Amino acid sequence: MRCEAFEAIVTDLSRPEALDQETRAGALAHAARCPRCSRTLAAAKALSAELEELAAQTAAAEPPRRLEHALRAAARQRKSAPRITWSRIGAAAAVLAVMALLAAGYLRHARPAGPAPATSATATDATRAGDYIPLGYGEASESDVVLVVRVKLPAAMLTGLGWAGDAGTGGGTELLQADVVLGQDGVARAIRFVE
Amino acid sequence: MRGMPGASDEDLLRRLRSGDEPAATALYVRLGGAVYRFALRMSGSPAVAEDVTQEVFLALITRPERFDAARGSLASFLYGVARNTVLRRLERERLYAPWGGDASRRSDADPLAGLIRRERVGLVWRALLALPPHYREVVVLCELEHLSYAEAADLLGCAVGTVRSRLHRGRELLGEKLKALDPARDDVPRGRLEWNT
Repeated sequence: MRCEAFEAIVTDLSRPEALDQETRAGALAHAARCPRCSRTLAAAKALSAELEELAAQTAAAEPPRRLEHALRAAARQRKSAPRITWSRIGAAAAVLAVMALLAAGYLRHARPAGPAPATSATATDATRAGDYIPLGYGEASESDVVLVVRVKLPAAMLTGLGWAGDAGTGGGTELLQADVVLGQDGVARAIRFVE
Repeated sequence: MRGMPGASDEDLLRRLRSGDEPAATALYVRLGGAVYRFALRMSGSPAVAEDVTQEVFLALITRPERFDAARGSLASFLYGVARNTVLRRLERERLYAPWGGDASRRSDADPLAGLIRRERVGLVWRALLALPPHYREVVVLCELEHLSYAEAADLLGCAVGTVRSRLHRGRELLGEKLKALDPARDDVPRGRLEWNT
């Protein structure tokens, strides 16, 4: 073995898996004969010993206990916070469509029997103006709201439940659109009908 | 119980995905120390190591689906995330003077010898932290974490030959930096390493 070849593999000598037995023996035999490569080998060994010492001194280092507490808290929080997935959104939209129907029925019963006075802002007027109607399933706040889902409802179904809008003009076959506000727990917070 | 020795990493991950807190704790107990030590050796700073470890495990807890078992072990995945996080921190911040180590754990019969050894280790760490990150990470993985070339290559996403050449060059640079830090340094082996000589 020549000195150049020895220098190219001197780092590998400390790693059993890096060299075959024959190459290793050849390299060590060369270092035994060559003073220069003997020094190179000694330097490599010295460096490895110092790195080993550094590894040993840091081997017992452990993260502080507070880190485990913080991560456990994060795991708990993740478990309690529902994850918003497309399947959940779809399911929520279906549930909300039903809720919207129920809300429309409730509004019909809440309205006075006669025509509303022009100055009174009825719930129906509000929806036609595009305002959200709180659904009363939970407290709504800006930080809570995570998603607004647009759903389509058959007008005939709304008419049947007392919707007093223009549902009848299309024979009850057209679809009405509604925006539903979902909270972090997937429950609807408010709804509005879109013209 | 904390490390759940009977359960495999895959079992624990499955449970973690369904929000099981003890599984998250068990994975942290198993692998948190290794991630912390890697970050500490790369950065020289316990504070950075703590932050990195927290980021790595938060990522695992909040998005466990990012780990793909077909691409390697969980330990490799966590090392990879830790490595990227450390490198981002190193890019943002200045290098740190190395932490003094846990000297209290070592008992030296000769206090002077112990002091000299700790000084020498501190010097090696300073030289290591002065290496460019792509050399430093290979030296840390192969020399301090004792990974094979193949394991390090897998973790770094490069060829085994690249790891080998970077380690060779990294060690050369380390030797030069140690000489610069301590001109009186000799190259006489001090350790007990056996290289079949």
